[in-house]
Amino acid sequence: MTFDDELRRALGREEPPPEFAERTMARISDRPAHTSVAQRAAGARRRPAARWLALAVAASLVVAAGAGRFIVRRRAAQEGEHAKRQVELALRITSEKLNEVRAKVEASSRNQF
Amino acid sequence: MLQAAPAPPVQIDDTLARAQAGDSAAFADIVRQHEAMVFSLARHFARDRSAAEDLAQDVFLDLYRNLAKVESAAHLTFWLRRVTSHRCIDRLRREARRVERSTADPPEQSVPPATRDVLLAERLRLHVAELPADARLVVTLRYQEDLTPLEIAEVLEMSVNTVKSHLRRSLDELREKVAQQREWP
Repeated sequence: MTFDDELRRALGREEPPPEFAERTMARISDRPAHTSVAQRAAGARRRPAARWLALAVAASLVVAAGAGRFIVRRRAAQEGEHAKRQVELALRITSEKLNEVRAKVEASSRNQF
Repeated sequence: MLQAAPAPPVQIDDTLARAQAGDSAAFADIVRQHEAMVFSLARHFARDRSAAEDLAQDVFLDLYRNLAKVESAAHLTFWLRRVTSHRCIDRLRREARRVERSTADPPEQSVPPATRDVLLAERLRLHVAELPADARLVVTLRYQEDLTPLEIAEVLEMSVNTVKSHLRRSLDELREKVAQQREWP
């Protein structure tokens, strides 16, 4: 036997483990469905309509995002005004209370002397 | 003036045509037809049969995704050899990086001490496993698949001279290693 023959014998094909094909097909069936040539051609024909639909959805999202930002800003402004009024009220109440307390203290000090 | 007859349409194997139309049983037949070739190629680059099976399955998954591009039964065989070869090289590169990072790991393939009862075929397989990746692929395609240097060059996208050079050097190295082991007591 020549050296080449020895190499052919050493490197000859060997069979894979039993049910290799079945396991391979099981792995394939776990993946998204294979599309045939015919199915891909049909998909290409539908593609222009799908493209327009995608554009319409994208445009709607942009408009919705813009409207959302406007609402958020207006709400923030409204809440800011409200907060400002609350602070002013609190200050006024505090100021009035302080005046009352001062008046009482002065009245009390006048009665002592 | 006579016009040349139109070229006949490319003959596509019936099983391939059915698989391309979505027939999964036909695709399973294709797997069975070619599993030994793909698995055997992978086996020379994987550390064990389980890793070889993983690699081989990856190849058939690739085929499933790209089936529409296959033009004929002959093209299918060519495509499988090429994709398997590329995946084998990629696997080796990944393994080499892994071995570099983990210096405690033992080498993947090692030649056992020369003993008289070790079969020559087993020794040759182990010596082939020690060849650099490209040389290993060339030798495997030559002696497993019986491809000519030109066919190997087409599969691996190398020049024919490079293929011949790999073959020459690898055979010299293999002969020398076998001869050295025969001289040991």
